[in-house]
Amino acid sequence: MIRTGTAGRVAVGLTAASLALAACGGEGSGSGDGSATLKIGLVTSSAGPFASNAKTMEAGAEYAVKLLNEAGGVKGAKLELVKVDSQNKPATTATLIPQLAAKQKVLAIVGPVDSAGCEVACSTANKLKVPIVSPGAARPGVLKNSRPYGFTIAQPDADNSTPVLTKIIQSRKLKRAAIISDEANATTKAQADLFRSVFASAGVQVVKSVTFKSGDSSFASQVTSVAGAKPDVLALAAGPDDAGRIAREARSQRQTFALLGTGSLQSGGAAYVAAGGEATEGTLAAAQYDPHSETPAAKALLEKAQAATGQTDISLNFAYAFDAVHMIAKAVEEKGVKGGGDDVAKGRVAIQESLNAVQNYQGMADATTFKDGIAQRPQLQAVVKDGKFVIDKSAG
Amino acid sequence: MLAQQLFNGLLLGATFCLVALGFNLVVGAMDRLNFALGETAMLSAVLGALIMTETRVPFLVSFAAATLIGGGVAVAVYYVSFRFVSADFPTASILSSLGCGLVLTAAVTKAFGSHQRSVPDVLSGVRLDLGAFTVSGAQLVILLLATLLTAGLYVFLERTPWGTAIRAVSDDATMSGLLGVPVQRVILLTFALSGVLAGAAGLLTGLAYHSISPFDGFTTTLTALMIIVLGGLGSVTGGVLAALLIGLIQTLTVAYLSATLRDLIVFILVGIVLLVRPQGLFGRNAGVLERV
Repeated sequence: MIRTGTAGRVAVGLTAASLALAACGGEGSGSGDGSATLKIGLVTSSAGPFASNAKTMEAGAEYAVKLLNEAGGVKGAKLELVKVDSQNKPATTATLIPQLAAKQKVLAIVGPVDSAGCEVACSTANKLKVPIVSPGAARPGVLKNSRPYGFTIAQPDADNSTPVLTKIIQSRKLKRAAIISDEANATTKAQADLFRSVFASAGVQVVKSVTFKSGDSSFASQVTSVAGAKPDVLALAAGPDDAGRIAREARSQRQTFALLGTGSLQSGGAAYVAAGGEATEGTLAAAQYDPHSETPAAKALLEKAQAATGQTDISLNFAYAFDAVHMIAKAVEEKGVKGGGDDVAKGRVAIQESLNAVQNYQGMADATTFKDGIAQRPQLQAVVKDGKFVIDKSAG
Repeated sequence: MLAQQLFNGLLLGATFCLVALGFNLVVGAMDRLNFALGETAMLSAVLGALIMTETRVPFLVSFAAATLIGGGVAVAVYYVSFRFVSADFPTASILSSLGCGLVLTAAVTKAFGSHQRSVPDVLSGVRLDLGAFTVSGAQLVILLLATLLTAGLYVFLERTPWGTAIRAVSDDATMSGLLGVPVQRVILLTFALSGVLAGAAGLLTGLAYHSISPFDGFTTTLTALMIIVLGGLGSVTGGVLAALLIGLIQTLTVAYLSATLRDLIVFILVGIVLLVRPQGLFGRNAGVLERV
């Protein structure tokens, strides 16, 4: 009897509290007036091979919102980032996107940073008609089921990295290659496929392919196998942390083969160098972003970000997330989108239309033009020098 | 290349061996599994690496610190999860120690972040070329320390009064108590020793892999569990041989098959052993002398 009574009182208390919260509006700040907060969702991931990329993406989006709000917001309305953590789990991502759309009533979403996460998040957001911009998804076909609401600021590796990697192979006269990849991870698997395709077309013999599991600690066995095949180059189809540890193991086994990465490696360059230390020196990679761009608009934004963050190099995902937030804010401003009530659905359509029309947007990551949702980026070559990725301007 | 891979496997097994021995000590003394031992190893390794990088002390100093930290944490886990938990409810201490492990992981990620922490190399200029395979300075240090600790533990258990007391308690705690053995102090010592071994294993594994992840704890516990199931609960010899066997299997699977099959093959092997010989390869049926 006593138990039932206590349980009953607790239930009544919880119900009353829920009703009170609901009456107060709960989560909502979107009450329908014109100056309602403009909510942008941010899908991060604290786990998985691209957790460090997600962290820099989060920092870039936060910085963008801070700058915009300090400048008075967008047409007087403040921006608010609604952050959710997918923990690199597709099921969690698939649950979080509808939550952002229906419960939080976000106008648009930024993230996830990786292709595997984007495939789930972007297709779900597309079904719900919420514009979503990934600041890093670069796998070919990543937006296949996500148009017209899905966008990525990163150009797919296949389009962007192929000519650069081919050029590296030719200039370095590479003949024998080994590839290391996580075959259970869709993003690194796509990177490995890209390497195979580039090596095949450039006449490079793949003498060894080895696998690992993302997050592995030991790479001794894989590197020993690679060393036995005597390659000229080891292609790193791995997240930046794993790639850094592979580099460290390779150099600790006194292996002198070149290390090669796609544009994804440069995008997580800071994490790669942090994990691999001196062993990463000389690593070559394709790149689509120059953290020391001389373009006037990008240069000014980069210098300001450097001063604000205290970092000498602004990472790719930081810059892309910064630009994604600004593009959405610009669309909101141009189309006169409002943040609350019934306007949200109309606002999402307007933002989608505006983003699809983006041509030569000048941001922190230089010029961005969306072609069928995919940004067209410059093709650059990067090399790790003195503990960081720098664009090799001599490579042309 | 096969010789080098075999050496890599033995090295991996040597690091597994220490934590499995620590696990086995507790099983022997209390018939309980300390599921926080992997996290104890991880915490000791993270702090050991931190001491090494921040204070730039020699590796052996940070190694000694890691073992002391491991011993201290294991004693704390003993008081939280075992000392006052009734022996009538064996699952309670398992769940409690699992909880301790989660708390340790959360504490490390909160204090030091969730990223993998680099472990500086030791004797980086040393490299022994032994023809079929080469041994780096760090690998030499790992092998030496792991061998010393394993041999030291064996001598301690076999040749010292406290070691004899541990074996006596392991064999029959009630009878040992009646004969005047201070059972609680012996159990406390056993936990401290298991923590020392875990701390050593944590930092040596970090040295072998060049890094430590705050999420390595549970994997370490799981691997140790596989080893003692394979080798036989409470058997030192079984633990050592099973650790080396699993190290070899994992390494050769990665080298010649696929990294994704690595754990699967070990689990299948353990499953077969459980079906054919449930007490493990060197389990209780191997006789009292074989047990801790």
